[in-house]
Amino acid sequence: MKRTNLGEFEEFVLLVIGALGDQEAYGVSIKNEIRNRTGRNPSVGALHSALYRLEDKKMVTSKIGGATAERGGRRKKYYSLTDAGKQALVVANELRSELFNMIPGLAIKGGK
Amino acid sequence: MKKQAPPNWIDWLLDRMLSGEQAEIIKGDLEELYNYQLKKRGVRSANWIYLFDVLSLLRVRIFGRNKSKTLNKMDLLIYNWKITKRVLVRDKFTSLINILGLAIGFASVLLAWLYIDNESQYDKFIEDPTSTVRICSHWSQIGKYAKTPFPVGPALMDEHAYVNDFFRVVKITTNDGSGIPVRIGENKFMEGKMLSVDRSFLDIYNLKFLKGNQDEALKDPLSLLLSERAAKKYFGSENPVGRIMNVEGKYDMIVTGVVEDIHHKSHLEFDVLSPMAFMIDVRWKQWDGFDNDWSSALVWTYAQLKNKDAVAQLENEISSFVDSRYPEGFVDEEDNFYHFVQRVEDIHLQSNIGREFKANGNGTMLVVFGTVSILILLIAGINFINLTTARSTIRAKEIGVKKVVGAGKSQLIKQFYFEVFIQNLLAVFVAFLILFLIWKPFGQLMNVYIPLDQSRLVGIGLISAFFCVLNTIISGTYPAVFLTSFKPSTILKGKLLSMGRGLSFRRILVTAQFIAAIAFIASALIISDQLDFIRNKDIGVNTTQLVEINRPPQSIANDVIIKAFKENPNVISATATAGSLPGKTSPTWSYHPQGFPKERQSFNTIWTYEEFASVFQAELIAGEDFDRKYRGDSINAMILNETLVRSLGWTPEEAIGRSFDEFEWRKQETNPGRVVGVVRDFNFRSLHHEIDPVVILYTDNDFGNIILRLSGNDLLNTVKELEKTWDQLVIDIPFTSRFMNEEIERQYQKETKLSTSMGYFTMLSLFITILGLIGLVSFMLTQKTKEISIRKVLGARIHQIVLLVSADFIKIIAIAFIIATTLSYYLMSQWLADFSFRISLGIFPFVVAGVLAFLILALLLGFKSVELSRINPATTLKDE
Repeated sequence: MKRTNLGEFEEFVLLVIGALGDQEAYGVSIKNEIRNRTGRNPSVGALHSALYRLEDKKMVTSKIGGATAERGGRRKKYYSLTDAGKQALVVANELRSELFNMIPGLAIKGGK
Repeated sequence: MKKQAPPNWIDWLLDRMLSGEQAEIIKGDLEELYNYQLKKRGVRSANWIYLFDVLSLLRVRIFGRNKSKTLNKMDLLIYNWKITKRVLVRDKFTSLINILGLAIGFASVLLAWLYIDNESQYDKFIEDPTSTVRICSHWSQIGKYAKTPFPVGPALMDEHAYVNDFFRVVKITTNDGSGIPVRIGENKFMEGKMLSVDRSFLDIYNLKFLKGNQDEALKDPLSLLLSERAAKKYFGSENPVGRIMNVEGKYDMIVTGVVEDIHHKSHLEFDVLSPMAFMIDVRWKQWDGFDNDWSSALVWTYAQLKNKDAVAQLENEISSFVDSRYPEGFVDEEDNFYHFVQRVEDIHLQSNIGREFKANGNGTMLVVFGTVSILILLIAGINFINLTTARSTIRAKEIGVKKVVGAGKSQLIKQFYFEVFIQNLLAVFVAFLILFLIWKPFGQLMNVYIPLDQSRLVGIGLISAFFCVLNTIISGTYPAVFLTSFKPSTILKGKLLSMGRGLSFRRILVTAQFIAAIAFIASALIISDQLDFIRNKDIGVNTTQLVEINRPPQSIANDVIIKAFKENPNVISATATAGSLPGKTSPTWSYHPQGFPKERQSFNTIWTYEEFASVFQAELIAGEDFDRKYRGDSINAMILNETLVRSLGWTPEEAIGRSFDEFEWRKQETNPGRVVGVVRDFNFRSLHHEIDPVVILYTDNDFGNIILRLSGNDLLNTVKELEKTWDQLVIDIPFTSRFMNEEIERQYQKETKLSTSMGYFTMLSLFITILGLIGLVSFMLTQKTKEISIRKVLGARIHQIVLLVSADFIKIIAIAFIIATTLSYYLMSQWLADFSFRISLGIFPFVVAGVLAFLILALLLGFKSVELSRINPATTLKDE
């Protein structure tokens, strides 16, 4: 099986990219979304290094574009999920719910 | 409103960190966030957050992105390899010099390491090397010495709870320190390395048993253990366990085991081990009270302490040992008698006191070896730098083209490092080859056995790797940076690089090489001068044609055996001696010279027999030699040396006939003695020592060695005849003999080793230096071809041209000469200070070294210049 290891932070980043959609997910928006959703405020360095890692694992792709005045006319790098990225999220989610369901007293459905 | 922006210095920092597309994206994000924070929290907070975010970029994953990913690393490597191969093949001569020089450097460093490592591993294999000590003694008359009285070990154990265990060692020898006879069946041997030890030795020394087992070993007083090599010597491939060995013709002892050899890794050494019980219950049985004899230093005593700290504790507490344990009134104040301890692991390299078990190692030698080998590697490294930079012009165009095509500086530098590294790697393999070849000869030269076990092989690998990388960095950096700094515009325009570039740096390097070379030559000359001086110095006695024969104590009288020997026509004269003979420590004895208060005066003493002066050809200044009329005389006849007579304030003539009474051992009674002769001073001890006052005492006791003066050229044959004579008189004990001048030579083993190794080192360093010079000179002259051609056209004479090219080098030699002379003068006077008799440091060796260096250079330049002077300007000038 292909390795689909995801760190917790990487998983967040991946989820956020998916939630924001192809047209919206770039450095600042991802950072803000993570802060709003989780209360964690990752540094720019931490975020970009996670993004590079995900790129290396081929879970996200990127395209360049959309310069604004706010950022001194510099272009943005937009990220979107690849099939592998989606697959990784599905696997992570399944694994999680499977284990979750095995916890007696917490399981919502499927318990005996 | 003025637009707020982050502080400039943070942006500056950011610029150092990021570049290209990555910079654009991340800087964009940062600025967007900054503006957001600015609105929300104000300038201060925004700046802080900005700084924090910038610093958060300092991680590998982000920096790693900086590199362009377009180059295929494998391709680059293959390409580099191809270029390197071509460069090496194109400049075959330079590559050969470089690789050979480096290989010699590597080989000497590796060899030095092996030697140093081996020497410093001595006695580290024992069970507890840090807390095992040897108990030594000091007595004003003989100074420090390594042996102790028999009861010291048990008393220490009894006195201090932190003494875990102890063992004593006795060397079983005849009186004069030579071996004892051993017989197996009909085969007679002399065994010089038989010991008696307490059983605890086996545990403390952690001896490995190859045959037999430790539990039963050395339990029976008449049992033996053999070392591996002794087992081979006595029994060949047969199993020695259970076999009987007859010792001294008296004791039939049974071999119960074979243990590992430790002679190459311990200051202790043995071939045959017997239990201490053999001494106590058998050999010394007739000797009453040796176990309570506090006055004879019979044994070496070792103690294993509880832990490291106990060593310091024992060091302190042992000072009171003599007072608390020795019999009342045993020690006089003036004796300054005390015990002290040495850690066993330090003995081999640091201890050099009296009555050592065997000659120990030499710490200075290790320093010399280490330094010299690194120097040789350095000289080789310098060659490398010089030759590589000197060839820069040839490679300049290559670099220019590469730069124009788009190679970055770092890529070019990498390629140079790669080239240097490959050459180093090749050198390492050649070094292994050299090491393999000189392994055995080196061991013989230094008289050491260095086993190449696994950890050593790993060590060799690690050291080679380390020096390979270090050398790549050191000798690769200058050429790499120097060569890649050329501007393509200048190079490609066809402008020749000026020869001046890098020349001053090269000059310094060449000077350094010459300093080393000249210093090596001068030191080697001085050391061998001193050795010659020692060997040829008139030591006051003539030791050539003297043969020393171990005689069996007491079993046959001196006059019987001497008479038999003298029947041989080649024996001129014969005497017997005991005591201070060449290379052995001299015992002292107490006397009462006439006209002085009746107090003990101690002098070195040689006990000897008739014809002493005539055998040794010692010159009698006054009086006469011993002869048979003193036999049985109640008054001891003695001959004094000049120094002694002078120190007593007598003239040689006055001394004759004076009484010189001999004190009884530790008693106030004296035996009468009379001076019958005064002899010119002679050096019986090595020339490291001054001449001490010496008493030569006549004795007709039958102990010691027989010394014969032989005539004729075929000494070996005469000795064979003497052996036949011996075999008719003496049964059981084999004949052993030594030539006395060989014994004298043995005193200077350390110096001989140093001299020989310095000789080799000098040759090596010269060889490498010359290699480098040949390369450099021929290259420089090729560069100057045009200049010389033009000069020729304009009418310059050959000698002017030669002078022109050599001027530079002559200056270099002059400077190197001054520095090298100062340096080696200082070092050599330190070394000479060790000798009481030494050469004075003249200017001669330095001049020889300087002239030699100059001659080498002159020859080199001469050949090349002649070659150059033959060139035809018409051909050389048109080749552009």
